[in-house]
Amino acid sequence: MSTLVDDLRARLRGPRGVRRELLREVEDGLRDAAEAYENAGLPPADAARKAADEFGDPAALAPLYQAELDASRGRRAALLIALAYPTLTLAWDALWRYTSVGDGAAPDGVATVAGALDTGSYGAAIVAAATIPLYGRASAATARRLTVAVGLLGWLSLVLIMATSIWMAQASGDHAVRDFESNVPSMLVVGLTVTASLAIAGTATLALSRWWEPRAAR
Amino acid sequence: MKDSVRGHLDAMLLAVLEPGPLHGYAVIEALRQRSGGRFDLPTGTVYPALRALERAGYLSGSWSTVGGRKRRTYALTGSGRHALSAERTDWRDFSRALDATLAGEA
Repeated sequence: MSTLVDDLRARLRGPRGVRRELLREVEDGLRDAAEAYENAGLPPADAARKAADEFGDPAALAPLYQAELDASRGRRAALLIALAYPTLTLAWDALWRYTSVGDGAAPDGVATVAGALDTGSYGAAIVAAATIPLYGRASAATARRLTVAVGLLGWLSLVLIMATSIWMAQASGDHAVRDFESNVPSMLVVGLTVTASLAIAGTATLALSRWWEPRAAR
Repeated sequence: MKDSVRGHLDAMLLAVLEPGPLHGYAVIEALRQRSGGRFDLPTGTVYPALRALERAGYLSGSWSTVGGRKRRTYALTGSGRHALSAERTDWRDFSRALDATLAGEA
């Protein structure tokens, strides 16, 4: 029975906690089945073999289990994107509004690009949030596609936001960068942005990896 | 037979959970008892099907101690009851139409 569970475990990719719970449930079920056959009079080894035979072929069953892991991974990534981008946008807005950072005249175009960045961030968050209920009745194939799409959304939005931010910093000149370095709230917001960006990059990479990982590994 | 059973597995799982919460293996036993042992699916298909129904909001799952061992127990939710009722109506309509078609001329 433990060989069967190990075989299934080796075929699955996804959040460790969810995978552990799924496999624990399987193990419990197999033990229950073996106990029932033992109580019916079968020798322990035969009871365990019968329970394992009835379980089915791990290779054929793995995609069903993988769908739950894909859904969990995709939903986590979508939730992070949906929460992180509005939080960051509000944090940056508060910085411009309530501190002296950015008080100097911004060069032409920076305000327009900053506005577009805010809209893009909210847009990415809304799209990510909209995928979460779609996981409800998603089939294994749909859950996998959705998760890959959320991973793509995470990386595309991150690259666009980073490129735009770097351009704005360069266009604003050295004095703007010095303003940041001498200001505690701005360093806190930068720290929050770096942490959230790393978290999105990590979770989006894991979600995107379902593109090239086998449907149910091995 | 196996494919048609698999196609209706969700409805059957909701039906066996209608009287009250059960853990995975108890669900499998209830399926066997209700079908008189005729629905012989690989038991490994039942656990992910229960999780998928939970993901859809039709079941709520939680870990609890049953018989001295920690087990994941599933209970039907309000939307699960609605889904079961809709499945029953669909099945009755389908089976009535099939009966009429297969019966032929009287």
